[in-house]
Amino acid sequence: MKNSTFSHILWTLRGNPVTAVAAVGLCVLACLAIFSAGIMPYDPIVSDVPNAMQGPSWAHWAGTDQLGRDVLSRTIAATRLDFLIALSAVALSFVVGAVVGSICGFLGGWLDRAVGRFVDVLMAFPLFVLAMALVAAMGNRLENIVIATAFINLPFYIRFARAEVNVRRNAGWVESARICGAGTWATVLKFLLPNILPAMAVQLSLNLGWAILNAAGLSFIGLGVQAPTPEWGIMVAEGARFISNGDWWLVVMPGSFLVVTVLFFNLLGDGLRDILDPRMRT
Amino acid sequence: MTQPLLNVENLHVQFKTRSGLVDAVRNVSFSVQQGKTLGIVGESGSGKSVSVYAVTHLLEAAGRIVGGRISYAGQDITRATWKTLRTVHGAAISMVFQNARAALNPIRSVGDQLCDVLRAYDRRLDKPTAHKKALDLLKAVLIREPEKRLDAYPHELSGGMCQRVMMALAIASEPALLIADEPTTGLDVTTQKSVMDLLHRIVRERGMSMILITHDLGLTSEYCDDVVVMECGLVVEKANPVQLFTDPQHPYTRKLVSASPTPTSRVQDLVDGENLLTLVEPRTPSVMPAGSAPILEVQNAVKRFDGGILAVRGVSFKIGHGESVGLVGESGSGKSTLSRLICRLADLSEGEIIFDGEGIGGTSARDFHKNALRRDIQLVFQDPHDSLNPRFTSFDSIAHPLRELDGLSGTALKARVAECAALCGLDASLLGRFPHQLSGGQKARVGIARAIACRPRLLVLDEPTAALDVSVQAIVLQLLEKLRREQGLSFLFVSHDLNVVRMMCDRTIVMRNGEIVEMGESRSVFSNPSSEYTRSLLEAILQVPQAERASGQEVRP
Amino acid sequence: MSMLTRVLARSGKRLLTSLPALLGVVVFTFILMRVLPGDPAVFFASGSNAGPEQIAQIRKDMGLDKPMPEQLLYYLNDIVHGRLGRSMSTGQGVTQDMAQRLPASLELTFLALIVAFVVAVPVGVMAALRAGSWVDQFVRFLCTLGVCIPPFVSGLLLIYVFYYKLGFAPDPTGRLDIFISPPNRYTGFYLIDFAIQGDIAGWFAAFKQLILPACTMALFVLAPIARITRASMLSALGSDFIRTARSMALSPWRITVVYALRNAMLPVLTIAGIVFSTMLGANVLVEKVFSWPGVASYTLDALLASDYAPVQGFVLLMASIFVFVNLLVDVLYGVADPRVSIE
Repeated sequence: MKNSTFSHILWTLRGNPVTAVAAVGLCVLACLAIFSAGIMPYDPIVSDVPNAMQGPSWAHWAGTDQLGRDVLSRTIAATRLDFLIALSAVALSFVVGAVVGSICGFLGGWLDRAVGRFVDVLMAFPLFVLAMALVAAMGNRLENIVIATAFINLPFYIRFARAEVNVRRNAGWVESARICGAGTWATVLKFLLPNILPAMAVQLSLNLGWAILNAAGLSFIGLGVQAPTPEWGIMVAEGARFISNGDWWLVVMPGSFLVVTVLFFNLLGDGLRDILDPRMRT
Repeated sequence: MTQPLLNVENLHVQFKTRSGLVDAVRNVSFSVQQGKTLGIVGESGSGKSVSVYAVTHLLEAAGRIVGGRISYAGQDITRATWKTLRTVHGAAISMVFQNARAALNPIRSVGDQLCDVLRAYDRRLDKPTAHKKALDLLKAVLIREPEKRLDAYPHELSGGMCQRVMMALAIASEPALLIADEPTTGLDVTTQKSVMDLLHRIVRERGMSMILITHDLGLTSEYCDDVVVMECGLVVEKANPVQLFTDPQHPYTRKLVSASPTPTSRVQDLVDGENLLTLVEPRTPSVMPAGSAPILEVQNAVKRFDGGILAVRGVSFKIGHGESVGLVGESGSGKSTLSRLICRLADLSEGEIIFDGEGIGGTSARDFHKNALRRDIQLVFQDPHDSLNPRFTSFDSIAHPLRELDGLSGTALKARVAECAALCGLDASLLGRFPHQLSGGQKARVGIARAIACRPRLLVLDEPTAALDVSVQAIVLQLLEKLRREQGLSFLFVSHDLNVVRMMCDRTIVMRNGEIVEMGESRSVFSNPSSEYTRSLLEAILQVPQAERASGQEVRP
Repeated sequence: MSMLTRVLARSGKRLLTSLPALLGVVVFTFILMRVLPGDPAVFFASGSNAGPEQIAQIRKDMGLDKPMPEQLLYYLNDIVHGRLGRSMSTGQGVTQDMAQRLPASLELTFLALIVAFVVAVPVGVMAALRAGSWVDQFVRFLCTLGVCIPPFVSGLLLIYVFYYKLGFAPDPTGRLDIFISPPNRYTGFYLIDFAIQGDIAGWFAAFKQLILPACTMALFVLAPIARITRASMLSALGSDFIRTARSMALSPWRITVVYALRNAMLPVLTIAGIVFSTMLGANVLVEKVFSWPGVASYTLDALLASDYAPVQGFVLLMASIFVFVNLLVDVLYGVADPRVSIE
């Protein structure tokens, strides 16, 4: 009955080479994140000042930074941290946002209005500013970056889930589910949520990219991650001083990893929609 | 023979799709004479709209004319450039589209849009003259208070008024040929009649020719001089309406003629050459014997929405065991709201609903699913396209109420699902498919199988065939009637189509503005209505030429 | 109802509905700074090395020894009177500091906004008109890429290319080259002030400093604007009323511009508010990269120095600006789209 999910995925990937490239690329990055310890050529933390500020060479493919550390190793090590932050933050906001938004969209009434007001207030902040304020209030620690990123993502998921449920709420099949005995919770969780998941899954991938950008941005300005922890944002910040002198590799290496990762997440997001929507199955 | 105004020969149109090139229409030929009206009839996928859009070069980007010849007033316009089309288009051929409100620019006033067209036709027109001409056009289409309408926006007008504005736009450039693409879709029966009468009158008065594209055979008999029938991109028959109805040649035309409900058709005759009902005897008498308890009684039902709007104002009626009762009304009559109240999907503001002696109005809609009577009242939905969960296979959809309300599982479940599918003529191979892999008719069958799965005693049908093609509707209606007789169901059949209700229902209730205007046996309501409103509804239904007419007999029932 | 009365009624109604949001923001910042662990008095005193008497004094001044609801009232009262606390680093009132630095941020943001719309909208429209062509594919690719490059990376790259390699741009530090004196303060916007003074050389100097940071910010929002414009235009071009217009032989110009484009611009107007909000956020990053003396970098410095009064003031300021801009966009939309009712 479930006509092979796997063959369907392969068929979609074949039709969308770009998505395939993105998927493969993300797998490679994930491997880098998981196995970074084994892949890195040098230790990312230990300084080697005599070798400082060397441009790319055969010994150091991406050059060394101001403390002589190998830029490539640090970039690879940073992959794990950035992925972790993004994944935790998005997972948190997705789960909470989807459930809250669906219930509000389905029930309407005072709950919907109250949550709507709250979301409005939340969105009244330019979200980056809010993240700054949250980190300021809660302390300059890594966990707070995750929470701040999750929090600024939350209104988006709530609104999205609410809108999707609203559209489907009066569809014949939802009424039919009610006629067959489904109560409110069952209707929302068993029937509506699975139907809005494809649309939200696309957002997941896109939000992961956005979360990485936000996390990197926050560390760029000095919040959350502290030296000498390798993280893409903080590496760009450290390298920023030197770029006007022409030492470009400190910025370009972590910067390009950052851009490429986000790009892959965005491309994958578009491809996911094709795979998960059963309407594409023929 | 005079030269036809428009002549289409062997038209072949292809569309570029993901799976390659697809033929939309092949070898299509038809012509329109000066001052005459041609009807093009077909169901969905017949290619009737595509053929005409090809003529006016309004095909979508993916469509291409790959063969044939189109000539207008002797001039070949098949490969016309935009400059030539300009003289042909606005000035000579105009179109009126369905769903008029969407076809008008929402952020531009009616007056501005009219002036745009007038100026496109005559560049030298100055503002005051254009304004006056626009006003004249609105008067010509019999819009009330035309001065006010000039400044109005489409969203401020009703569906019928938007259609009239469309017509005004179409005749602004004084065309010789008017093409109307399903102009009455989505309009109430009485509005349909006034719109079509107006169209007819304008065309006659100005000596224009018209092409009327429709799926409704009845319309063609009233307004067209010639008819072309299309199926799957091919022309299958050409004749004048009387000939078409009294002596159809092609099997498809015969099927279409049988399937079109008329004031005198019967359910058993709907499907040409086939009758599902021959071997089925009614289980219980279809007319309620006096004195027996009704299965459903509605007492003074009132439904008030937020803002004080009264959708249903004190409605009372009964449905007997095994009886089929029809509920008709135009939009805003409250019939859909009433059907939702009876299914307990919405709560009553006042009044009571008694099912088989038990009051069910007291339990709230939210909690009704726990009530034992939930399985006895089921609903067949209007739009097959959104009544099935897109993530459920047909099997899942039919099994769903069985799991939830009857608690079935395993082999018992599978057996019952197979049984229901067979009863509804649904092939077993379709059980594993998703809704987007099924046709409209198949989806309707799944919806019906789902509704009867738990053996309900009352089935509420909310316009169950409104979104289906006529031939598919015929089959579904026969199926419904067969099920009703076999299973001893009672029906509440909600519809705006009077002919269908007359065929399917023993008794009919006519609603208007939330109140019952007339109620009684279908035979008497339809042949001798007591209320003015019912009379106006009946007059709006078109008469179709019958075989009896050829022999001179009285047609009106 | 005439246009003017409609606009006024709509602005009035919208303002009323924005007030709860603003109030919510104010209360939210209040809670943020007080309910979380830590002694707010210490935060607002001159750092953690303040003496206990000083802290006690601050506590008394700020009314921190009073019950919470009363504190809230004091706080609201302070806000209404424009008293946002005192910055530890500058020693001045926060309101004063912000007022001084706000024009720098606003000038940058406005210029970036104009550049972004002037480039992105025509690009989006063109891509829609030539949908499927290589132009369209190229634009879509650039958009996909554009959303992925954060302002701090693009800013640094721009500096590298245009300052280091090509030498076109001036030294990317601040609003003005150190050898040129700033204009008299009429508005705080250098471009306007120099113009008022009639100082052409100064105007160009200020403009040159503005280009790179403005382009960096614009680049960040170019992609979403172009994308939405394209999608919106495509949707307008495919709609029923365009088919009607074509059937009535209106000129291609009229169909594309008056019928399609005007309708397509409505969603674009809607996201103008969101774009502005994104830019207010991105301000921090750009100001850091280019050492721009705006409110965001001021706040950031304060934040890292554990000087919290400016942070609170900054949040309030940004929220108010955002609410105001959205109000403006909403009103404009109501004027542009006759389908939208007053409420």
